[in-house]
Amino acid sequence: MGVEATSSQPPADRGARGLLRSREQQITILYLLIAVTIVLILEVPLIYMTVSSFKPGVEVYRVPPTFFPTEWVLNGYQELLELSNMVIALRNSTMVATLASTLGVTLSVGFCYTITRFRMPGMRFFTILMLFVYVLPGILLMIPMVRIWGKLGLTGGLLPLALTYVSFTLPFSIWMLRSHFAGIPLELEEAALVDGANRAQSFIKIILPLARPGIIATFIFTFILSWNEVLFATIFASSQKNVVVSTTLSNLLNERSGWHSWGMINAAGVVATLPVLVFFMLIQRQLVAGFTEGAIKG
Amino acid sequence: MAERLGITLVSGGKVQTQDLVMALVMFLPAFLVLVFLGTYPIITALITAFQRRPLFDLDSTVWVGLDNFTSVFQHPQLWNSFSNDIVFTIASISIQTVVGMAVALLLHQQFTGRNILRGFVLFSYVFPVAVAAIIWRFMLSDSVGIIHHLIDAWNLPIPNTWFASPKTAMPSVIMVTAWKYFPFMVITFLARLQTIDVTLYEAAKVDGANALQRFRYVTLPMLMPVIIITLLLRTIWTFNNWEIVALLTQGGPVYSTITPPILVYDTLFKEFSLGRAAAISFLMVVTLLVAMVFYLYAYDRSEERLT
Repeated sequence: MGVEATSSQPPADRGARGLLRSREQQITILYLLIAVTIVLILEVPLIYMTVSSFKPGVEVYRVPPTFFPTEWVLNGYQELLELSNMVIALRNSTMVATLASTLGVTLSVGFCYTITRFRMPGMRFFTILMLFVYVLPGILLMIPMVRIWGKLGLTGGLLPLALTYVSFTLPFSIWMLRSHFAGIPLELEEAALVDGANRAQSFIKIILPLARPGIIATFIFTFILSWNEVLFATIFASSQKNVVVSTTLSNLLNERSGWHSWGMINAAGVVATLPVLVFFMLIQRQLVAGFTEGAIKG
Repeated sequence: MAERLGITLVSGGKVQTQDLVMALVMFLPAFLVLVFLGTYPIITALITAFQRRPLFDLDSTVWVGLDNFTSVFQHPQLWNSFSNDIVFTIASISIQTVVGMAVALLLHQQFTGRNILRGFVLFSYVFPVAVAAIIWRFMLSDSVGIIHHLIDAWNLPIPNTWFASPKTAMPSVIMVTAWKYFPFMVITFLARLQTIDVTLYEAAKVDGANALQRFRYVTLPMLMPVIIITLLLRTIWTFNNWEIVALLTQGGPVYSTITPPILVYDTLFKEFSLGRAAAISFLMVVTLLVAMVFYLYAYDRSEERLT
C-alpha cells in the first residue's frame, strides 16, 4: 500500500542512496518495523514453547539456555503420551466442546431467527438482561451450578460441564449470530411463503443455507471458548476419568500429580493449542466481523 | 392469539398460528436459559450467603443470619484480597488500554503485511490462557527460564524473582495478564477506528489540525463510547478473573497475589463452606456495582465538561 502512495513522487525524491526514499515510505517502513516487533513480543513466547517441546531433557536445563534445540527429539511428546492423561483429555474436551457448541448454536439459531422476524414485547428489557448475564462473575455462577448438579447427582462429569458451557457461551453466540440473521433480506423468505412453502420449509431451505457461514463461525468460536475454559473445568472435570485438556494443563503445571519435566509440559501446551490454531485459521475473517459487532466474551 | 401477546411480524404481514407455534418453539429454550442465568445465580448466591451449607452435605440448611458475613469480615485475607484485586485490575487494565490503543492506531495505518499482523494479534486473544501460564512460568522460572538467565547474564537492573517473591509476584501477574489480554483492546478499538468517516480527518487537516490535534478532536471523541464500554467490560472480567491468577501463582507466595475469586474458590473447595463463599461473591458483586456506578457517573460529568 505504501508503495502505491508514493508512486506519484518525482524520481529525484529517491535520493542518492537507495534506502533514503520518500518520507511516506520511511514512515511505512517504520510502522512495519514497530508492528513486527509487537508481533514478535506476542508470538515469540509461543514459538519458544513450541521449539522447547522438541529439546532433549538435558538441554532444557543447559546454561546458557538455547533458543532452538541443538537436537530435535520427541521425548516430551512421548512422556506426555505415557505419563499424562492427555489422550483421554483430548477426547473428553472434543466431546464436551462439540456438545456445548452444538447445543448452544442450535438454541441461538432459533432465538436469532425469531427476534429478527417477529416483534415481541419486552425485548428491550431482555437485551439488558442478556448484557447482565454477559458480565456475571463466573465464580458467582459456580455456587448455584454446584448446587444444581449436586442435587441431580451429576457432580464431576462431562455432561454438567457441557451444559454449563452452553449457558455461558449463549449470550456470545446470540450476539455473533444476530447480525447474520438480520442481514438476510425478509423478501427472500416472503417470496418462498408466497410460492406456497410454509415457514418451517422456508426456514430450512432459505434461511439456514444463507446463515451457514455465520453458524459455522459461531460454532467454532464457542468450541474454542469451551476448549480454553479453566474454572468450570477444574470443578467438574478434575477426576482421572473426566479430565479435559485445560485441567490436564493446569494439573501438569501445578504439579499436583507429581513432578513433570518442562519438555512434557511444553508438549502439552503445543497439543492444547493446535486445535485452536487450526480452527482460528478457518474462521479468522468471521471473527473480525464478530468483533466489529462488539460482541465477545472475555 | 398473537395480537393479544403483542407479537407482530417485522415484515408487517399477519402472524399465522403455525408461525406463532414455530416462533415460540425456537425462541423459548434460549430465552429460558438466559432468564434463568440472569436471575437464579444471583438469588441463590444471595440466599446462600445467609445459610450454613457445607459442600459435602447440600441438604442440611441452617439459617445463620449475618454469621457468614461476620466470619468473612474476620478472614485475615479478605481485605488483602480485595486490595490486591483492585491493584491487579487497575494496573493491568491501564497497561492494556494504553498499549491496546497504540497498537490499534498503528494497525489502522496502511502498510504491507497489516492484515497478517492483525491476524497474529487476534490469535493471541483466542489461544488458551493455560498455555499462556505454561509459557511464562517456563520463561521466568529461576531454574530453566530463558528470561531469568538473560537478566542474570546481562546484569540488567530488573528484579529477577518474578512469581517466587511476594514483592515481584503481583507485578509479574499484572505483566502476563496485560500481555495475554491487550489484544482484546486492540481488536475492539480497531473495529471502531475503521468505521470513522475519513472526511472528518480531511476536514480537520484543512482546518490546520496537526496529527496530535486530529487524534484529540476527531479520533478520541469517536472512540469514546467504545472505550467506555470496553473498559467497563474488561474491568469486570479482570476483577472476576480466577484462572490467570490460579494458573500463575495460585494466590501465593504468602498471599501476595490472592484475589476474591481465589478466596471464593478456596472457601468452597478447601473449607467446603458454600455460605461463606456466597458471602464473598456477594461482596464482589457489591464492589463492582459501586465501581460501575462511580465510573459511569464520572463519565457523565466529563461529558458535560467537554461540551
